[in-house]
Amino acid sequence: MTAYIIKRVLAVIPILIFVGVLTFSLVHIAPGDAANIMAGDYAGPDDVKLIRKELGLDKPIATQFVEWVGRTLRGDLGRSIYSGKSVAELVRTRVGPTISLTVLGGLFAVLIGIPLGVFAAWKAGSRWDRVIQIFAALGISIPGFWLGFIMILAFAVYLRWFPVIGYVSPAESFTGWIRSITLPVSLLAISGSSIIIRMTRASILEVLREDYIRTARAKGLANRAVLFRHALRAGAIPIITVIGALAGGLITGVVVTETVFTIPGLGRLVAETVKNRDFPVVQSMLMLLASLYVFINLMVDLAYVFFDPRVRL
Amino acid sequence: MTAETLLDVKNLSTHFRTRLGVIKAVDNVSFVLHEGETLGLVGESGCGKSVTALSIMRLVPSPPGRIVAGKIIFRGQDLLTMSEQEVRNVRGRDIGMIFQEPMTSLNPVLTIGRQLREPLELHLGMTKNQALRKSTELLQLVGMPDPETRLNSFPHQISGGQRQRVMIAMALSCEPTLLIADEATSALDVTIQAQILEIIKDLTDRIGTAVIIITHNLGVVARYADTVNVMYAGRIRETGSLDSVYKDPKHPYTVGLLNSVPTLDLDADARLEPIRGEIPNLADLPPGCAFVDRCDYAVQRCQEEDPELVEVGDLHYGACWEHERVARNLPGVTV
Ligand SMILES: Nc1ncnc2c1ncn2[C@@H]1O[C@H](COP(=O)(O)OP(=O)(O)OP(=O)(O)O)[C@@H](O)[C@H]1O
Ligand SMILES: [Mg+2]
Repeated sequence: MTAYIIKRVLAVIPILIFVGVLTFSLVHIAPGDAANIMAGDYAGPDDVKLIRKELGLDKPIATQFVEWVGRTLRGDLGRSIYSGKSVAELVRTRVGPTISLTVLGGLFAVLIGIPLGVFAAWKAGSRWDRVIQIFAALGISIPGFWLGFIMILAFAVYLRWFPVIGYVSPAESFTGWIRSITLPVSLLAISGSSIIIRMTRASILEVLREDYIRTARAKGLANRAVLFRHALRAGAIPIITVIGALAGGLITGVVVTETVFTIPGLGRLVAETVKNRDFPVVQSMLMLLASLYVFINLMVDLAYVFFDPRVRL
Repeated sequence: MTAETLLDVKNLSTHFRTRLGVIKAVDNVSFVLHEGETLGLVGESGCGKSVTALSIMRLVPSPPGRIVAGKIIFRGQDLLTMSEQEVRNVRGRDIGMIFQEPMTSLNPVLTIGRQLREPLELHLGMTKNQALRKSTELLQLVGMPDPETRLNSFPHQISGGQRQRVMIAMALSCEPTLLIADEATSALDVTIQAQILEIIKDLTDRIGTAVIIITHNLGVVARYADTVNVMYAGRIRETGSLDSVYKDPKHPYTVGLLNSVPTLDLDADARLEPIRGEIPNLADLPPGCAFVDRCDYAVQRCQEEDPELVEVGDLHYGACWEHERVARNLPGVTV
């Protein structure tokens, strides 16, 4: 088991190297030149040249890559070529809202999705099952940005329960924080739980037909123990897979959510810097997010081992 | 028999609603089991043995199944009128059950110890440590090698025979008064079958547990049962003590079963004759006897009227119009 874990962890290294090469190439192949944009419409070719030199863009691409890798490994994520702020600083000021949204959104998606999915499977064919399934189908098929706008219109503009835009940090005002993230977190939780409900229902429904469930019931176990100890654990693998995919999806989903709700998080930071060709920030941000993605997948793999003893080989 | 009545099944009917119609898997079945007694329930595949057992446990998959009529009086109380909670208190504590499929009857993601502990903690109120100690003892009793390490094993790490030992330990852990063994050994190879059956017999004798042993194997019944129920197409067609049913069968189906299986004392020149034909569609039974198309003794009446169980000997009942001819072994007078 330890050997398996070590193997999985080591397998991350080549993936990260590949991601690094890809990130760097994408940023440098993409059309649009940071120096041009920075210099503005009225700059002459000499100005642009000067800026290129300053940014190190005149060096051969391979040298640039080696230097970037070296800096990144030393923990220097570079500086924005516009604001001059370090990427670390930018991330620090922008990470709060993103963490609030993703962690709470993901958490509620799981806390709502798994029990509802198990319940729907247990009561398969009943009216409750149908109601839950309709909710899940809607949650999956309605586009997030559209639902987001509807939510803003209904609850923020019309009912005025929540602010229309912006983010309040919990340090500033706790109730303000809750109010500012309720809608985006709900949006993430609705679409997330819908997917989890579907997978949980399907997985549990299959497991409930198994002989060992009959054995568990023949022992006199209550429904709760049968469902959550026996069925949910046995049917955990596909559910974990979908939660892992969802966690990965949250990373990209948060860009949309932050844009719809005008929340100054990492998602919007990425969107803005890409638009500006602020390549040091884009590079480091992509690298960070990709690493996070790889990390989530690693956690999913390790969770498999934890939940299914048959994987332990 | 002086022993007290433990289980009194009265006019039990369990039906399945399917697209093909209503399947009468168990149809008006009645039998009595006394404390400490072993009852053999035999019959071909699909004749309703498992559904009878599941009905007693109230574990008939529903939908599509439903117990539509009858009483199952267990220790004076009707299991069928009990609340779900009351039935759960009976399951695992007063009635243990072992299933046919050792490969799939244990949860693959929980350790053996975890699964053994459950009924002990639930019904006997043991703490985790008490339950673990008791589980080790139980595994020892069923002849599991190295029981302490086995507690931490997962089902896929042990053999089929060992899994069935675990199932036995689990089913008997709360010392139930009734054990239902539904083809407990059919999936195992012959030498292991014998071992497992001996363990079941040994332990149930010790605890004084009554056993319903469900099997296709008439040799097994001959070795372990006190009384025998022969089931065919959802009904009991013949019932009585082991001796009376085996030595003096009154139903052509019983005769057919006895002729079609190799018994332990098989003569070298005895011929094995499978029963001709197949069991009828349970969703569309003929008006008369369900066995009529396969029967060597059938007469016109058998086509029209379904025979009920009648007394054919001392505590021996058979459901055949022609049981006297069957007893005198005079087949061949077909219509
Ligand atoms: N879940 C179910 N849905 C529909 N029909 C069922 C179901 N379970 C059992 N039956 C029907 O009930 C009848 C009796 O089945 P049962 O399992 O009791 O047979 P059995 O005597 O135990 O046979 P075997 O020796 O193969 O185990 C079968 O004909 C089967 O078609
Ligand atoms: Mg069966």
